[in-house]
Amino acid sequence: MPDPPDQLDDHILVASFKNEQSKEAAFTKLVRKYQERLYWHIRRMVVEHEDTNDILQNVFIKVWKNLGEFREESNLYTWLYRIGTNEALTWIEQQKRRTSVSINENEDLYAERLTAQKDFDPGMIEWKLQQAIHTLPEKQKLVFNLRYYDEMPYEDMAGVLGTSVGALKASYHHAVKKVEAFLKGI
Amino acid sequence: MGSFLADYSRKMPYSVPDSFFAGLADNLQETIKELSEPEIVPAWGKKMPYAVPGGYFEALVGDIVSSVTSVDLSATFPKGSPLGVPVGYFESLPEKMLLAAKAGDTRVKKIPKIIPLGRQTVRNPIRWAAAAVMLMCIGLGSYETFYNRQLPKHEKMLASVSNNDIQDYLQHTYRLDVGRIVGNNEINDLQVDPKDIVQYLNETGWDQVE
Repeated sequence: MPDPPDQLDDHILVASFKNEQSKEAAFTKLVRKYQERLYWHIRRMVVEHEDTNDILQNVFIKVWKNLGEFREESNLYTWLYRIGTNEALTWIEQQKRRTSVSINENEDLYAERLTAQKDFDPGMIEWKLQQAIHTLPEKQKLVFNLRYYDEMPYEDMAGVLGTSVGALKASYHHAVKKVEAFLKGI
Repeated sequence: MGSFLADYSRKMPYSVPDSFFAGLADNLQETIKELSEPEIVPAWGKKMPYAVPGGYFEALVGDIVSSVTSVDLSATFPKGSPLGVPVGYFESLPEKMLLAAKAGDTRVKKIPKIIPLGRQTVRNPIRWAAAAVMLMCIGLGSYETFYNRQLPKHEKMLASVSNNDIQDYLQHTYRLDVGRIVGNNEINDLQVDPKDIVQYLNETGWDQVE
């Protein structure tokens, strides 16, 4: 969760963006601040760099178009993650429809994408963990990634995913168990 | 119930894993207990193994900013069409279409294009000249072929020989009744090689016909 100074910084960014004189400068600063976090959040979902880049561009174009109407009911960071998550999930659904991939084939698809990555090494724990995570259902994968890698508080995650805190805790708990079982099985 | 659904079975078609319900209560109790304890953070490491192209993040900001701030050039394009439409076209079109449809003729008859005479201009003189040359060549070739035919050498020579000499030859060599052949107009049925006639005359002597 962003620190209070960080939240203030976000508030200033939003206010600057809403001012035509400083709109572009504020947007540039915003992109620089969040680009890597959003990039990795998306890449953990879709694996390929090129696909991640496409989705990330779409995310920031949406931010440019809609930040002027952002009412700051949630914090900026949660709002950005929500856009990134929705764009990634939409892209994944489109790919599944395009290729008519079943649930079982979906796991194989991710397995193929992973093994095709540069420097893929099934002996390394980082790659094994990615393989384990990609056996999870999409929503549970998101929960795991946001909690494990981004250390996002459940309250913020509820704002991103539109799910209750209790359900998110349970989902994460089960995801950890499944990942653990996968890693032990290798 | 009076609805048509009243006769339909309410059995769910979905399959459920064996002993799911039998173990559900115990599983839930265990989950609730675990969730009430402090969350354990697994020690698997957080390093991402994926490669990122060099300089990607440095260039990303510029790419995104230029894509969102670039002027939409298509917004400056004129919206109106430069193509003209005949006056009253759309007003009369429904009636025309209806008449055509009723008549069973789905083709809309075109107004014939009027080409004014006397105002023809030669747009490409070179093409016309080339066509004229072609026609001349074809004409000359036809003339040479059909009207100025060169007779074979032997027939030329025979042209100067009298009919009596030819008849003598025929009677002598082929034992033909020349009088009958000529009288019955069978002369064209004879298969006589002019070369043979020429050879005969070379041996017997030519009498020139004047």
